[in-house]
Amino acid sequence: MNLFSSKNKKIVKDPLMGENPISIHVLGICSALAITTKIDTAVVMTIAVVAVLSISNVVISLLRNNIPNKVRIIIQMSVVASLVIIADQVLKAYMYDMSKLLGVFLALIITNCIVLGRAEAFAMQNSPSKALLDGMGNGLGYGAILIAVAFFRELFGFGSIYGAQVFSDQIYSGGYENNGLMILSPGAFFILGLIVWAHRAYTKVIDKD
Amino acid sequence: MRSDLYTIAFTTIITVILGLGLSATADSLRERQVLNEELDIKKNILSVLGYKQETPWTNEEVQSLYDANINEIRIDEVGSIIDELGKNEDLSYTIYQSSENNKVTGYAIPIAGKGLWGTMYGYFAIEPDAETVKGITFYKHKETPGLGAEVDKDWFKNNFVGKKLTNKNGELVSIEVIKGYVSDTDPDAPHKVDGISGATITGTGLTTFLKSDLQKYEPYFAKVRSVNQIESL
Amino acid sequence: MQHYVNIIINSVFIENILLIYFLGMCSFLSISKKVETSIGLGLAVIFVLSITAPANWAINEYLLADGALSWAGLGHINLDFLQFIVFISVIAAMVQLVEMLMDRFSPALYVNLGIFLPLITVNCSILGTSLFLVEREYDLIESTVFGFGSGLGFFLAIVSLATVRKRMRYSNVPPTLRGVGMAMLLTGLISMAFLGFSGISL
Repeated sequence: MNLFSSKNKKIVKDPLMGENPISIHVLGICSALAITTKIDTAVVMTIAVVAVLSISNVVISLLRNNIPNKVRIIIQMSVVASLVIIADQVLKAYMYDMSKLLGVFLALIITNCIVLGRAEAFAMQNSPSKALLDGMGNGLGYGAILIAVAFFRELFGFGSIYGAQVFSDQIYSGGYENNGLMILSPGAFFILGLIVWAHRAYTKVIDKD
Repeated sequence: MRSDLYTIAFTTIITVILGLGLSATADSLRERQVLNEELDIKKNILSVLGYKQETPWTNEEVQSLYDANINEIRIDEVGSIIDELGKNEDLSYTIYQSSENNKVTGYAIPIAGKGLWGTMYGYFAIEPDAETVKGITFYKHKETPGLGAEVDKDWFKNNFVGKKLTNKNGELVSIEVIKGYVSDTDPDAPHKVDGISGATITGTGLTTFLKSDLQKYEPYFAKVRSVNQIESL
Repeated sequence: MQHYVNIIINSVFIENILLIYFLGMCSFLSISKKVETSIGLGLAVIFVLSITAPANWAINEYLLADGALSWAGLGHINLDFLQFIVFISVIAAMVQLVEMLMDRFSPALYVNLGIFLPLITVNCSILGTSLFLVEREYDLIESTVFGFGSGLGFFLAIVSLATVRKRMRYSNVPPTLRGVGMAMLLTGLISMAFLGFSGISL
């Protein structure tokens, strides 16, 4: 089967736009927001989530015909938890400063509803190659929102983008000040709320509520 | 029954595989992680002693800078330098001494103690005269962001620089984090720094453990001061 | 005693697990549509947190942490890399246990809280609390108090959002903002109100 058939592209693309796991299904924001004060942490978190989600999807998909139904959730969870531990260990060994910043929030990928949700809803029914694409798509969709939130929080909170100062001293001497609220938690809620609004206005998804 | 057996067998196999995989990963990466932690400590010691650089340090730079300039001295409770071996570990303290061209440029000591939410860890650096503060830094704490966590910020840390640890009689008085601002007319101003508003407990905690940590090293620094005095005469 | 009160005040108001650390958001947003159910979930979270926090503390202290196995003469073994997987398994097992016990001894409570229990295993606030108490080096009593306090904080946050959302039914919110988007903005406002507590000097 062609890996880049239109159907497969759809598997990756859907979660990025129309079916975004965060803005449409409200999944997995738990671990996401606390590390979105700076773009670089959000990027590393995205990479970790994409890696864990893709690999766990593939593993679960490979095992799908053998997993006893009774214990499937706990098996899925063990696989995910093991992958997260490996990600944490690798970060500690090769990106020590970053692992200090992410702290316990990396571990919380385990309870990130997206990872278990995709394992249960997609990987249990589909072939490994599709599961891989689904994992990547959902991971990237999640990461896109994460990085978007981080972009605004860093821009308005610190006046920088990806660590590079964008607001010059002239703007500051003209009376502009960094918005401290952005760095605090309410800033994350407001920005995420607005992003969800914009995204839904674009995709025309409406909640009954 | 068959399916139960299968479930147990399957679960066992998965557990064993995951367990082996995890142990192997953890074990193979452990050495690097320990090295990272050591480098992080060294980086903190270098920075509290005033080593600065525009670009972030690479691991090799930290290692070579540390090896070239920092000398670890172990002292016992009466301030005598001891060998690392053959002494009771609990009663020995480590001083990190920086020197350039065989001239001492500063001393750093580890400090740790209770803040509001947990133990704060850091380093405290003293000038070669053993009475003037060279710097302070924290590498691990759990204080409230925006309040107690300000201990980590430059404005707070810079307040320590240049303060005096000893009074006119050469006795250790340490540095006190006060509530509010230090007034210029206060005769004790050299021993006080501005507190962080809204974080009184963090400040008093810091005052307490800084003093008790300094007292441990006082026998050694008292000797340094008397040697300095003789040399200056 | 005052120390424990401080831990509770901190975990409920100042470092609210949900409003400051964003943990437990998934169930928070999906359950907060009705006040009754949000109270049910909140109580279940308090209950489970008060049990899992000390349990995970003990497991970390005597089995996983560096040198923790020294009581068995195996002090050189460091199992702390197993922390995450063991914690989540303990949480899953505890939740299951609580569910069974509740079903057996208090059917009335089971009817009210039982349906929320399966949701709780994957609630980030539970695992998050266990990880925080290790990071903050709490002892047994502090851990229990912290677990209870975090649960209480979650309860308070979810019930306040549910009551506010109830009111929102009468307002004219743009259609695409309804639901999650609006809930987020409201949570932001509640979170901002909670920030006012951070001025408390303990």
